[in-house]
Amino acid sequence: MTAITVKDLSVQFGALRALSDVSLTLEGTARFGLIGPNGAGKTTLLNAIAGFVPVATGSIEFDGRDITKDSIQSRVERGLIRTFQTARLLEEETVERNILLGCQSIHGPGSVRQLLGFRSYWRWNRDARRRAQEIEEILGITGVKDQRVSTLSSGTRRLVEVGRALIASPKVLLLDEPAAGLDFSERRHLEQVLLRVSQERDLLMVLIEHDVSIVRTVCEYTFVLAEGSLLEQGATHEVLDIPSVRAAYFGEALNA
Amino acid sequence: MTRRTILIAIPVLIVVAFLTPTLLSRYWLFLVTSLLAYGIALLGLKVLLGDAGQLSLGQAAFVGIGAYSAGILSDKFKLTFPYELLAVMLVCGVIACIIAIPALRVSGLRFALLTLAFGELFQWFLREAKGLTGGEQGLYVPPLLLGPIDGKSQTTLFLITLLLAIIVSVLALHLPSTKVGRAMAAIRESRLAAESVGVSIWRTKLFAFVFAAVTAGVAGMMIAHSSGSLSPTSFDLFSSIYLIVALILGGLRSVLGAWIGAIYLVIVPAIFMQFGFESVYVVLSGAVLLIVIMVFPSGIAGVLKNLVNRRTTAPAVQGTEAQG
Amino acid sequence: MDVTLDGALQVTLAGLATGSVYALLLLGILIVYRVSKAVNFAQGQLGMIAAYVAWALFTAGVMPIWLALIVGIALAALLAFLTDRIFIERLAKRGSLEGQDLVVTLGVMLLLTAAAETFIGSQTKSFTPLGNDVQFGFRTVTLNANQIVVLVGTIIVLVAFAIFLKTRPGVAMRASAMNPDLARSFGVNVSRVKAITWTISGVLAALVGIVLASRLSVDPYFMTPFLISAFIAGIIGGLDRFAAPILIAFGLALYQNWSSFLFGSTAGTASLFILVIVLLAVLPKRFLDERRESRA
Repeated sequence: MTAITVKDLSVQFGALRALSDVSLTLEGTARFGLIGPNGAGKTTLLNAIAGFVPVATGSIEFDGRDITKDSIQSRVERGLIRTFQTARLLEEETVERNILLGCQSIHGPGSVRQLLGFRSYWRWNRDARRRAQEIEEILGITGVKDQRVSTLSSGTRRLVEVGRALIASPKVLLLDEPAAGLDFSERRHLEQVLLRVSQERDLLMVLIEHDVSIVRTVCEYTFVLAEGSLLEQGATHEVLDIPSVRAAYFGEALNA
Repeated sequence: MTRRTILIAIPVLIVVAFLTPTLLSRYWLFLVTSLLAYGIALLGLKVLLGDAGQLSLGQAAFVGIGAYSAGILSDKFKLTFPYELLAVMLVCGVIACIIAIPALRVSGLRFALLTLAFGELFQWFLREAKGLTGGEQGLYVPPLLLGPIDGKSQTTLFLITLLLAIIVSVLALHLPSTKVGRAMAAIRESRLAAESVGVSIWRTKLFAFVFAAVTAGVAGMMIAHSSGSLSPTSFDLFSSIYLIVALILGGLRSVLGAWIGAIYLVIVPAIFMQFGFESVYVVLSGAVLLIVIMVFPSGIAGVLKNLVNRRTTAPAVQGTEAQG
Repeated sequence: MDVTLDGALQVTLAGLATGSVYALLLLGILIVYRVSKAVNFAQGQLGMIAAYVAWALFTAGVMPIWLALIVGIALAALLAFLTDRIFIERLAKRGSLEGQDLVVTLGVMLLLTAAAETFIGSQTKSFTPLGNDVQFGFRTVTLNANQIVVLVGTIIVLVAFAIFLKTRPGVAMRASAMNPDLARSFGVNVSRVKAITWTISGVLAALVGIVLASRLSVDPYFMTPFLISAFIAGIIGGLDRFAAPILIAFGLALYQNWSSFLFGSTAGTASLFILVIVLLAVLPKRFLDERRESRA
């Protein structure tokens, strides 16, 4: 069973303590929410798990293996993939080519064999194309697959980034505020996509979100961070009703 | 590369291969051979600078390594053509891997600086190791050894260089649709995005660096044999700069751009020399660079592509993975 | 070869004198980088043009030496100013520079080189000595007037600059460099700050060009080795810093002089590049990483 265990994790940026002794466990093929007011450390936690920021103290384990000192690339190769708050895509390339970019961590024929066009390369390529098409279908973006990414709406761009993460068949998918900047219908579409992805692929999904309704619909279990520490955790509908959570969290202007 | 393009290209190339030696004088045939050779070097630079986004100020030095290696190997060891080619590629590849040890740790300006330092060191070596390289006086290069075929004839050299140019062009056209080619595009655009999809930055840069070095070496070998003699000034810092200028003018990100750049690099100065306006080339290069960057950032190839795109009314369609 | 105390002193002082030239050249590059985030490859050739034009005017008998020098300096300042206004500013308005500044200044460099070659000729020439023939001795250590003036002058300029950064206009310059929009909201005329900075940079380049031309016999490429050394110091020390690269510039000159002294003059050139390669191979990653993209 896929598992991520974070033990006594602290992350420091100069004088700022972004995370203090956070411990939590994520297990199985479930959907986890990570919520909290701004500055609570949610993105920092995700960055730490994905390997984008160094850890001051504590450890991170993935499937029983300590990955605290692992490079981003090795975490990706083990199936731990994340998306960004602002979708980072290759602007001048098409949707499909952006999604195919995610195949970097899939093992295939080496660079020279690829360049010289050996049969194994063609097979690998065809395989990758097929995967991309499946994903485009799940995400509902087959219609725009040959369009340049720079011309698309932010909702669609977000989906392309999710697609890029999915093509590598990750075990863990970390999504950093995927609904940010999306309008109402795009959010509902994203909800359905996340549910569908989670059902069709066995993966562990972690969602950082400000939008409570998405968290309610999509996430089964939720962690609440505030000021760098873990405030509460539990089944989503229960956690969202706890008074201290409401105080810390709903104190901020939120949309439903 | 659509099927149609390939079907047109093959007969065209065959015709070119036959007609050129018959139509051109020996001097102009030599120029065309040089053009083909420098085009190969520019293709290497296109991959390193255009595709992977790494500014190298040492591409001319690698051309020089290939050239001098070819000269020395064919003189001292009398290698026949295929072995000489392999040996030159090996030498350049190995040296590139050695330079890569510091080079891959850094990027941007520091990388450029390192390639500059390497180029200057190579110049120093050429001038100091007089016994091996002939120093400032230069090196005489014996003709290619091809068994029964005459290695001195410009026609033979032209045909061989043409074949090599075609092979390298095909490789360069194919590269963007491979995994490593896509990784290069990712690195060029956003290092962070590249990392987040598991691109190994150092491995991708190493590939680009070695590719550029080996193609430069191949170019150097053909330049050595077709000109018959070598001198250090052809492979110095300013030569590397002129290579960059030529590539930017032609179009940094396209194979066609590399060939347009080769025309600029070889044919244009030759024409100026005919009319006695040698120093105009330097003025022109400076002005050209400024105009291109300010007005046509994607070079002449970019302008041509825009013209072609405007003609076709339907949006760009199928399967065309490579850039033309 | 024996290394006597006097010999050591001579080599060191000469090294410092050369270092002051690198530092002055580098200073021009640093201030422009701070303010426009642009790397000016043409810095060396700006100096060359100043020296050439001054020389041409003087030897043509058109004006006395001091006036010719002023004209040369003014020309370099003007060219630097124009580079900023015509090219760099326009590129910056389009969006981030992304290496286009390198290409543009490369173009300017080529143009200036070509202009010098066409109008003044590419053979080497010698300039007026400008104090290089006036020697000062201390035991057996000699420095000429030119070296002393430049060394002292450079130190004064560097100190003055360090002080300047703390004054109000200096702070305006730093603010324009770090965050132009913020600086504008404080009423700083960022555009004017940039223009002035580039002009000063041109003046610095001209001073170096003239000083060097008086010491060597010159061809259109004489500034290149000095520019390369200045860039090495800047890139290793960090173009966005001040003290580190300047100190490294002095250090490099000392290193080169000592290498030449100990191993012969050709070794001096090679040793510099070997040093660069070794440093880049060996320095811990921390010092080598360029500004990372913000890891949102």
